[in-house]
Amino acid sequence: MDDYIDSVVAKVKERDPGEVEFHQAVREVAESLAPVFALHPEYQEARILERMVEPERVVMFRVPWVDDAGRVQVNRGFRVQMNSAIGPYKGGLRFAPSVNLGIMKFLAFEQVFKNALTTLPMGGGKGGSDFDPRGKSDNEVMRFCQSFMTELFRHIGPDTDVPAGDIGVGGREIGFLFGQYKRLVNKFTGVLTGKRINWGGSLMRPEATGYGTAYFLSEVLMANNDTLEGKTIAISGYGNVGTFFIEKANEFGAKVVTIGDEYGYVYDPDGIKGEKLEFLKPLWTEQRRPAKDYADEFGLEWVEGKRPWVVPCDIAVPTATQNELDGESAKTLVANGLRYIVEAANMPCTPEAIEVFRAAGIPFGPGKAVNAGGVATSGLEMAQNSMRLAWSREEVDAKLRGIMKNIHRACLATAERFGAPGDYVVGANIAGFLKVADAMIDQGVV
Amino acid sequence: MKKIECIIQPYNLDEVAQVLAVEGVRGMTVIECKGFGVQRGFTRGEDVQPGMYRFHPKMKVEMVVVEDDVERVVEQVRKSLKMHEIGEGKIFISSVDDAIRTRTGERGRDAIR
Repeated sequence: MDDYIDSVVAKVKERDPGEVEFHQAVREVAESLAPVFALHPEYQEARILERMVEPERVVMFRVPWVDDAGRVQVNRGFRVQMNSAIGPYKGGLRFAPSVNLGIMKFLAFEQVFKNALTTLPMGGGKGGSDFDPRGKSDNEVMRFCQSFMTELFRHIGPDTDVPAGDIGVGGREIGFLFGQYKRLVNKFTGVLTGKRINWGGSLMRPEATGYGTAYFLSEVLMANNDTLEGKTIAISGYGNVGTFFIEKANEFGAKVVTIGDEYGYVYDPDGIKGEKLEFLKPLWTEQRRPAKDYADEFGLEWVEGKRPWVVPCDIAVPTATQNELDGESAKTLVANGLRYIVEAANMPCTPEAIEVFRAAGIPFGPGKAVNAGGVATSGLEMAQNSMRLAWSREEVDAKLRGIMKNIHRACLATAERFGAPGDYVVGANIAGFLKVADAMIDQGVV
Repeated sequence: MKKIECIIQPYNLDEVAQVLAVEGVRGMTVIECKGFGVQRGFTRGEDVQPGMYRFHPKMKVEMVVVEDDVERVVEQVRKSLKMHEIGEGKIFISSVDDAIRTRTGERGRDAIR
């Protein structure tokens, strides 16, 4: 890798040694950018990369709340406002015990490039808390969300920062957050996306990330003169992204045979569809129940303690979380005949896994391109809020599919232009980088 | 001369526009519209009652070509739409009595060359 890029990555590690996920995200993007700096020294002179790896603002705050037993609880809240060169900060909120500043920064960094790829005017940010929604009552979740928003509201707004959901933050949490925001500022605005449909949400938003993943995947197959008809797919999660991906993949004639969580996976050789899919859809997103309940309900094989990547499949789609697919899993998938892999989650494949796929010549779709359907539809929700009108489901779906096609085309064209034909990672990173970098140059040293 | 009207999904417009590479197609007009076909807009095994319908956004692509080129253009349009899902598209062929290039006054085949 280039000396200049090496030195930027080294400085990031030296400055914040504990933020390993952030180092990983920066390294993966920076590695792709070497041909850009070679052709365009102005980006290096303007220190674009050094600026991009430093968030514009980080807000970290105390979130105190009282549980149902009357005990005082204290959690930590975050909002990383990474880059607003092309639009207001945009990115979700994650409530999970694993949340820390390094993870928030990695997600916010990915978000900057992902949002740029959608062609919509959205900057990048991410936030959340180490609060664990599992096992909490509705009232506890509500009180937490209200306390969280009581600090966050000072830093967000429809033209400033528009948060949304992520792991642990769904329609219910967005509702509580929105209610508190409105109470504090006395305005009804598009300050959050992922809203329910009768108070400013967009049709198709819940489906968007899952459907968008399936649309991107279908483009990858078409580019390889192939179709999804008859293909076997393994996925790792069963939340918002996973369940809607299954629905759309089924429509395309494919079969999804695994879901799972951090405790293990289910193997359903007939494919998850029909009444089984209807049972699965609310299992996590509404009921917060474990994946094993699906296996128990339908008498299927539950494998404790393992990830689904040992099951032979044509296509693997990690949908759960970061670093869930490592080098060993990648080798097993390849040995079992894997043909394609697209990341529906954020940075689910480790660098070793990506190298295994690259060496085997397997088309690999990076998360920032593949899962951009979600934030793209959030952008469409913001557009509808600004117009104070609502589009039909079919209109949003058609726009989403068009956006995914354009993202796919942009990745391939950019990869071709910069000497890495067929490399979606290089294409996505460079395409996202150029859009943001050009805006940063125009806007002065800020 | 014949008019070829293709009613397609809006996100497939670029695929069809590439038909311009086919000799005989010297231009096209695109209209944003909405519609449904035999399935009345329902494709996902939903319980459809009589009289129900659902509009989907569509693009109508119109081209005027000489009669000899019609089959080649239709073939190219069909080939460019690779997914072959329900709702993909419909093509209608009709006759065109005349064509005029307003700038020069040319008529007939000369107007569309």
